[in-house]
Amino acid sequence: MNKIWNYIKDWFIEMGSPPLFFKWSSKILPWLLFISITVFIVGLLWGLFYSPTDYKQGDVYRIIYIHVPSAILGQSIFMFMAICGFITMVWRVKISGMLLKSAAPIGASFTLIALLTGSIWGKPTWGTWWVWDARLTSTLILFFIYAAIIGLHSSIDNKTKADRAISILSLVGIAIIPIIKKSVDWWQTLHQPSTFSLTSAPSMTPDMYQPLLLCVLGFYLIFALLLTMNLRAEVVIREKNRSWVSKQFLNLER
Amino acid sequence: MKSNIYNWFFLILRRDLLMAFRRSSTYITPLIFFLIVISFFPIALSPDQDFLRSLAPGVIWIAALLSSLLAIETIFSEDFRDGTLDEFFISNDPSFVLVFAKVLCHWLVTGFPILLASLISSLILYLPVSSLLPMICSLILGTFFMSLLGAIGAALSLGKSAILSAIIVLPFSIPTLLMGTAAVSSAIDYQDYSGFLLIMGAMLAIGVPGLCLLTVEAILLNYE
Amino acid sequence: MIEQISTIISMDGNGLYVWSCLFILFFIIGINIYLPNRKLNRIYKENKAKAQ
Repeated sequence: MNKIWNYIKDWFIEMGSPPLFFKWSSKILPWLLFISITVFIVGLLWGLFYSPTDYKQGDVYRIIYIHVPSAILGQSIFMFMAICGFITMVWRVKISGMLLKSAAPIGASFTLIALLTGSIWGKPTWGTWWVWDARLTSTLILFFIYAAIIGLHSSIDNKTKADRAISILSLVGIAIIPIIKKSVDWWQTLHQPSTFSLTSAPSMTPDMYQPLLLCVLGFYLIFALLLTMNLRAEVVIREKNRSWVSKQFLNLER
Repeated sequence: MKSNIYNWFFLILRRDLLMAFRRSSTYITPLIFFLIVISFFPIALSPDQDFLRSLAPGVIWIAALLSSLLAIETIFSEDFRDGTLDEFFISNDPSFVLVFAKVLCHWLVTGFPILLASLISSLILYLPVSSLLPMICSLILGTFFMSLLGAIGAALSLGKSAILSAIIVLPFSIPTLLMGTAAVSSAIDYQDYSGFLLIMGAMLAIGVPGLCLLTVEAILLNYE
Repeated sequence: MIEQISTIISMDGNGLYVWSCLFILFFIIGINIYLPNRKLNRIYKENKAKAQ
């Protein structure tokens, strides 16, 4: 058992070493690009054109196919970052710090998308652009936390030190976000209850539910794509003076 | 072994308190800042009694948060600059206790004067007497939690601008702010407020070990 | 055909909301794709120039 565990651990550490990561990510990047963009576009087309119109909200409800997946992503990217932060802090794995750093702007972007589309959706349905409702507020705070993490990372010059600094911050964040959500929930809430739940049956018709599921999958794949691109850039920038960069990335033989 | 830790704790606490009291600005500045912010609200908004009463919990809490963050970057920076912090970490005594003592000292120097000032500001803002007890209790719990959070922000932004630590800390202070204002305003409406105080206490109970350990980790970042 | 397309685009008069959401989505994701590639390209050019 211990042997298998060590084997897996070694494999992960080896795959995470910058030169090897750059090599295998170059191979899978075109595939990832193709698959993620296909699923993304198909999900959006299905949702925006072929799914039935909602009897209460009309066609405006179609924003759900953009809004809900990006809100889900905004939260799950933070969870991902906290896991990376834990690995960075405990085992000092270099690549997980870089993963943490490159996931932060993507998470902030998805949270921003969720906020903007939510506010656009609010205008025709609630009549205002912004309501101080529980979910909107906690998403806004999530965005601020992302901003704090990005700001902290950019303020520290030594990048490995900055990685560890934001790993601490992401751990504080993952502990406090549930508390923020609960405490904010005590306000009068206007937002519809969440569409997705792992434990109970969906409250929408399957015609609307299936494209939403596909959209969420597409958004996750897009996240994987963006993360790979960001991480590749990060790896090359940090190690630009190493010999493997000039060999693999620049195709120069020295 | 046990007495050793206590000795170490009280040594740090006594040293920091002495240093704070030799320089009166450390405990006077947050106090004055708090009172100035409080008195700006009636001037800027309206001196109407009912209006101010409904506003008071939020105003007091925002002022308390800001003024407890005001002096937070001095918690480690001076000791870091003159090398005292290095000595503390080199010595075999637990650094966790060191951080806790420093946080407690910061709270005694800034949080405690704010408690007294909040009594005065409750008069200015026409808070009913029945809401004084929850206000004091929630401020005790909340400002201590803010000192803990501020310590981690100060440790992460050691040697950087003070505004950075505020940006790091403020998003995380939302639960404290919400819970504190909810406790005071439910006391104004003669409702039960004990639930909010219990949750704030629970956050503090988790925060003392968790945040202190993470703060130690954050300070150690500067010694690489 | 053209009427069908125009009904799809207008979406009962709510088309502006939906399409602006879609625009925001593609804009922000586009920025996220553009920035890392620009960084990589810059390093690529710098080092190519250095090597020659």
